[in-house]
Amino acid sequence: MAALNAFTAFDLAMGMISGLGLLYLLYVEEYVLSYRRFLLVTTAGLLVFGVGGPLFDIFDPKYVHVVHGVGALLVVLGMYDPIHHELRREDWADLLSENPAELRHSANWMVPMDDEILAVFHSADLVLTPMIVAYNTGLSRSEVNRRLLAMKSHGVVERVDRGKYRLTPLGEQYLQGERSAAALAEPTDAAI
Amino acid sequence: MRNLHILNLGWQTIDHLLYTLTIGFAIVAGTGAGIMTLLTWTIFKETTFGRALFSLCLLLSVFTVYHVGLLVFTLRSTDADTLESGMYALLVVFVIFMVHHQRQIDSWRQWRRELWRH
Repeated sequence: MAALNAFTAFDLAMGMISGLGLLYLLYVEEYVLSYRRFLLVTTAGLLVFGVGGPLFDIFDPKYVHVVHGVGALLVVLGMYDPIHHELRREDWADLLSENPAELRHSANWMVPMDDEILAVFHSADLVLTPMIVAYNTGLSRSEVNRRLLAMKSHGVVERVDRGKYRLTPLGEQYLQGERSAAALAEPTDAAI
Repeated sequence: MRNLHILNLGWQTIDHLLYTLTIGFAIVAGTGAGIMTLLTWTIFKETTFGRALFSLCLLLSVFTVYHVGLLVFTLRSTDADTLESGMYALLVVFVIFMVHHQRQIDSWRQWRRELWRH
């Protein structure tokens, strides 16, 4: 057992006060019941960190960092549940990247303007003509027409009527960054 | 006698290695906790308890920086102790602030309930 000096006594007192405060807050917060399971694990981690740390500093200082690590690990385990259930895939994408296009896997046949064209389809969620897409992107109508034909041949968009296109589920998955470049590389049967 | 000296040196090396490993473990786990805490802010901000947990978990991440300091700069014992105690004091300040805030909310709720009764 190491000597109980002023520092360790102070740390232990502070850790115990914060632990009691945390337990009090857990007791009075009635409306967080649905998250209680993970809150308990996270709180346990903080208690291990706050109270266990100074205790080990007194009894066996060799393992104080192990206690800190275990406390942090419990916090990680407790936090996994809300992250897993509350944050959707798009939120993760937003957190990881300012521009979701960075997460997409473009195929070799695609050019940067394809993303612009698909973004118009995605935001409108309607059947659109090359002229409307060209008006909204600032590209020329012939360019848009050419790119739509290329995207149609790979199943990213589909033609619903003469000169009218819409986004396919494959195109939607590409925009969400859920499709690999390999999945977009082969021309579809309809186009052959 | 010489063998005993080598054995002693060996144990010291193992002890030092273990000590370094435990600090490394604390750094990795603390970094993970810090990242998870930042990711859960949208959930925690809704309640006082959540905000308290968030603040404490962030403080736990500051401890990670302290562990890095121990490992890289090999802080002197008094400096490390002062820093650690300072962080524990901050921990208590956070919790007391949150408890005070919670009590204010509770008294406000109580006042509203009584207002409705009359």
